[in-house]
Parts: sequence; C-alpha cells; structure tokens
Amino acid sequence: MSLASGAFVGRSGARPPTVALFGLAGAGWVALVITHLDPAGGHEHHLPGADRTMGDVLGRWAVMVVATMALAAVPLAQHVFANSLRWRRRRAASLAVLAYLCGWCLAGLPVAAGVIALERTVLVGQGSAVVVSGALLVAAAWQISRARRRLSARCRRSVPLPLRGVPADAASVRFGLQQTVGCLVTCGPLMASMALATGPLHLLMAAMMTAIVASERLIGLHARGRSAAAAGISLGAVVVALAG
Amino acid sequence: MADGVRTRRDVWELSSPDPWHPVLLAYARAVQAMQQRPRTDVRSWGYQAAIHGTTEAAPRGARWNECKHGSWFFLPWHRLYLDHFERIVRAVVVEQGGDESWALPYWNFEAPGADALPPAFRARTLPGGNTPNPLFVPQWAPGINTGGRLPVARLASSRALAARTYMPPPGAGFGGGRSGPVQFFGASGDIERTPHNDMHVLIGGTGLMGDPNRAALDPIFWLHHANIDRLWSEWIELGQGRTNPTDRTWRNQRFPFADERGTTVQRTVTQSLSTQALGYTYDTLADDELPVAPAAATGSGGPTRRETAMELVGASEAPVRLVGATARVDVEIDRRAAESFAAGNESVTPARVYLALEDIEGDRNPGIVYEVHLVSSRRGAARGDRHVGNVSFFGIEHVASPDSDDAHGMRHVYDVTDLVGALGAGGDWTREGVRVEFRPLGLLPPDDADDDDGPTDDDAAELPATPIPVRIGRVSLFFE
Repeated sequence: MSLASGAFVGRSGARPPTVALFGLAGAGWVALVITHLDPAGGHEHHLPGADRTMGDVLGRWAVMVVATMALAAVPLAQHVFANSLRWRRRRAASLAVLAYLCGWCLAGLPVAAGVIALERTVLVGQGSAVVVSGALLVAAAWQISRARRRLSARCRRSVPLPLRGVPADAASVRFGLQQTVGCLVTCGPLMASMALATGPLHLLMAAMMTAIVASERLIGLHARGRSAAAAGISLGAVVVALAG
Repeated sequence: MADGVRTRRDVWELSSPDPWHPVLLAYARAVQAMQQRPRTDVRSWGYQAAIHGTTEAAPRGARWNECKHGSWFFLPWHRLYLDHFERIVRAVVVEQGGDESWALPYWNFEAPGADALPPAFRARTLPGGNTPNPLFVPQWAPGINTGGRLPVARLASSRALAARTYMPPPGAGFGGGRSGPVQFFGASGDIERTPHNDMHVLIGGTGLMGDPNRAALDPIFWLHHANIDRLWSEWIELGQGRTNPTDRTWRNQRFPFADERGTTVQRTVTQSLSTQALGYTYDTLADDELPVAPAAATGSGGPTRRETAMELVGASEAPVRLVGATARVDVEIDRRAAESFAAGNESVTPARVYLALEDIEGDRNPGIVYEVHLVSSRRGAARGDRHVGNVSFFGIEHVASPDSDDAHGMRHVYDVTDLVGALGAGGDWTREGVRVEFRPLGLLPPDDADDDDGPTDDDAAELPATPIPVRIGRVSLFFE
C-alpha cells in the first residue's frame, strides 16, 4: 500500500524521489557492511559486554536506519512530491524524508541507552544470544498482533499540504514525523532487537528487516504476508539461539 | 430462458400493474427463508451479507468483509458476489416450488417513473396482509420509504458512461484505479462514485444501505448492485474504445464464493467478464454479447493505463468542514506554478484540469450526499450550473478504521476541464483561482403523497441531532 495511491504520481518537473531513496538505502547498506568489515570500527570488536559508548551505538543505529528505513520513506516522498507545486517539490519531499529519518535517529537515544545498560549487565557471554533471540520472538509476535495492525493505521494517514511558505514546510516536516511515529510503533521492536544483535547475524537481520519493510511499504503486506514475516523473524530467533 | 441464460428485468417494470409480480414475491419468500437459516450457514441471509461487510467477528474459516471498493476490482468482485447470491436465492425459489428461470431484478432508477423505492420494498406486509414483508427495511433514509424521489438529474450514470477508459488516468475512468485486492482504496471509478455511492447514501442515510458493514442486509442492495452491474455491461456495449483492463494482474485475481450447495468456489476476474457465460443477461442488452478481449501478453500495463504528467497548480489554504449545510472554499492558483506549467508545455491551456478532494476524513458516514460546484470567485460573476459531480462518504468508516489494511483519507478526483472551459468562455475564470461549493443533495418530494399502505417517517433510521461532520483536508487543482 502506498500513500501515493489515488494520488498523481507524475513525471513532470523533476524525477520522483524514488530513485534517490533507493540510492540512499544502497549507500546505507555499503556503510553498514563497511562497519562490519572495518577492523577499527567493526562490530566484531564490540563483543557483548565490551565498553561501547553512546556514540558508537548511536552511530551504528543511524547507519542501520538509513539502510533499512530509507525505502520505507518512498511512499511518503512520492506523496509529498506529487502533491506539491513543481517549483518546491524537491524541497517538500526532502524535508519530509529528512524529518522521517531524523525522527528515527532521535528514537535511537533511548534504544542506545538501553543497549548499553543491557550490555553491561545481561548481554554477557551466552546470555547475549538468549536476549537477542527473545527480543526477536517478541518482535515476531508483535508483527502479527492485532494491536500492531490497529496502530499501524497511522502509517497510512496523510497530512493536507498547504501550497507554499512556512505552512507547507511545516506540513512536510509534520508528515515525516507522523510517519516516523507510525513506523516506530510497527517496526520498533524489530529495530530494537537488531540493535542488540552482533556480528554477521546483525547483517542478516538487517537484510531481513529491509526485506520486510520494503515489502510492507512498497507492495503492501496483508494477513499472509504478515504471517510470513513473523515466521521469518521467528526463524531468525532460532538461528540466533543456535548460533549463540 | 434461452440456452440456460436467464434475463434480469427491471423491478419497476415488474411492479406494474401489480407490485407483487411473481419474481418479486419469490424473492421476498426466499429472503424470508434465508433469514431463518443460522448465520453460520453460508447460504443464510446474514452470512451472505457479512461477505460484503460486518462488524461481527467472523467464525473460523468464514470469508467475511471481502467487499472491494475504491479499486479496479469493484465491478468484477460485485458481479461475482451477486452471481453466487442469485444462485443461492434461485435454489431457495425452486425449493419453494418457484420458477427455475428466476433471476435477480435490477433497479434502474433512471427509467421514467422509477425514481422512488419500488412499492414491494415499501409495503409492510406480503400480499394477504398477515406476514411481515422481508423486503421492507425500516432503516432507510427519511422520506425514501414514503415515496421520496431520487434527484435523478444529479445521479445520472451518463457521466460515468461517457468515460472511455476503465481505469482513471487519473481523473476520469469508469471502473476504478489499479490497486491490490483490498476493501477500500483511493481510486474509485466514476460509476462507483455516482450513482453507486450516492445511491447507497440517499437510500440508506445513516441506516443499513449507508454502511458497507450492513448494506447487504437490505434486500434493495442486491437490486441496486444489479443495476450497477448492468451499467458495466452497457458501458462495454457502447464501444468506441471502451474495454476492460487486459492486465493479467486484474484478470487473474481470484475471489472465493459459496455456490448454491454451500461449496466454496474460486472465481477469477476473467470469469466475470461475460454475463452470458455466468448464465444471465439484462433485458436492456443486445442479444449477442461482445467477445471478451484476451489478456495482455505483458504482466502489467494494458491499454487503459498510461503515465500521467499531472501538476499541482492550486489548493485551498484550510480544510473544509461539511456539516449538512452549504460550504465554500477558495482554491488559489499559484501564479508561479501556472506559468511554469505553461512554459513547460506547448500550449498555455492545460489539456485537462482536475479537481481533487483530498484527505477526506470522518468517523462515520453522515448519510448526506453533497453536490460539488465550481463557482467563479470573481465578484458579480454569473451563478451558472457548474456541477462537478457529487461527493458522498459511503465506506468512510472503513477508510478511517484502524482495522482496515489500507486505512487512509479518502480522495476523489473529478475531471473539470469542460467546466473550466465554460467558466473561461463566460469570462468567469480568473488566474487567481476558483471557488468550490458543496451543497447538500436531498430527496425530492413524492409524486403522490397518498401512500396509505406505506410506513411513515417514524420508521426511518434515527438521524443524529447534529449532522456528523466530515472534513476535506485540501481541495486542489491539477493541470495535465
């Protein structure tokens, strides 16, 4: 399901922002892989229980957000782009996407604090796999819960966009943040469990997250799709438990 | 019945001179029998209605809440739904000793003298006067069950039939826009908006017909939809490029239904394209049905879909709140956008102009249809009839429902090219913008107020003390 449904997704004026967002997601993925390969900043050197700083965790969260959530912003960007005046389409869509991603980055603050607290207490040795696996199971259950479905309705609400000026900019930002809140509710548990994961599993989980988010936002997942996603996450939980 | 093909006939023609034509009496008795079946029986009245929509929790395995609106599946899904319902009703009719050629009537409200609810649906009792009439439903809009007449001129199907394409590209399109197989979406076809949605609201108000979760409980629902189905066939017969989508995504979509034995069957959109193959026709159609065009070789596209070069050029500054009275909003045209459009195109004049009502939100259907008019914002301009179309809010509960898979604000788009041209010819079109007016559309008084046997307005659904508000987030103008 796309916010642009029923809207005019035109090709006049400038290219729709879809390609740019795919590029941004690709760049995020390159950065994510590099952080795993880089011996200095690689995650392998931040084993559970190691002394990671807020900056480390937040930096990794931001990269993860760009890699996995940029595609989720495609409907948002398309809608704003198509429903704004030609001469301010890019600005309006960029503001909305920026607000969306910044919202996600801000949400990383409590997540990072929680991860660090857990790393210094529970996430030591074998306990790490159990916690990550448990978090994934919670995320899987959330994926098919009625509560999530009800709350995710806000992801599909759009905001009337004024023609121009400060009100138009404010509406773009508000729309972007509204989308962040909706996505936090629906994808937050999965993102949080990813923040806990370490090593190659983290990359695998990020790939799974990207696939789920892209399917949900670009194609539209209905009951069967949601169940398949939950099954995939549960399988991930088993793999993490066994690997741990 | 020729070659096993049954003919659906107009209810008003059947109603004259005797309101209780055998076809209608058989329908009434079959409805009564189906209403007595347990709701868990797929052939019961309650179950059949719940396939369209219900607020009740579905029993395990039940396929309820399946109706398709605001989507290119609107017409085929409802055709197949009616076809299977008709098979179930016919089986009951035959069980009761009725005719095997029984077919569902349709209500062509546009025929002369057919603009009021058919008399068999207004009578409290069946012939003889002792048995309550199952076709009579008290939850209708006030006035409709006392012979109130539909404002046919404002509900004319001719506007929808004039569309040459099935899918809106994006303004005008007969059948609806591309979408997944969802309940409510944002791409209603012209026929779905008017007369379909408007009729639901004008007949049902805030009662059964006005609510997709209860609409199919009303026996008139099926006759109304048979008429919409007939209009689909009429549209194809009009030719001149009018064809169904050839897209395989559309053609191959499957929907489950239950047949007269209660067995679940899967039906594809392709199977819905020939009424004669389904075993019925309409008395207004030619004997020879046009051949069904094959599906396109490619997986997407189709002759009715094209890229659009739409450009926003103006919009209202504030939302419009509709509360049962006339409301107006100014749509300002952005000079820079208009100049930019003209600079980027060969012609200064846009090929098409579209008016969009966006982000329409409301908790419930207010049971009111609004006419949409273009009015010049120029002082002293002539106040001509610039009727854009109607907007009604059938299904807004679904759109606003958090339980809906595709909840978001409704959006309606109207092609206003000709109206803008008329405003321009009269010197009433200004570069600054245009005013859009919303006027409530009501029933007309009955032709004959003498309706002794009919119910009174006391039977009508109770209207809220204050009209239910609906908000239109933005009214905008697009050039193509």
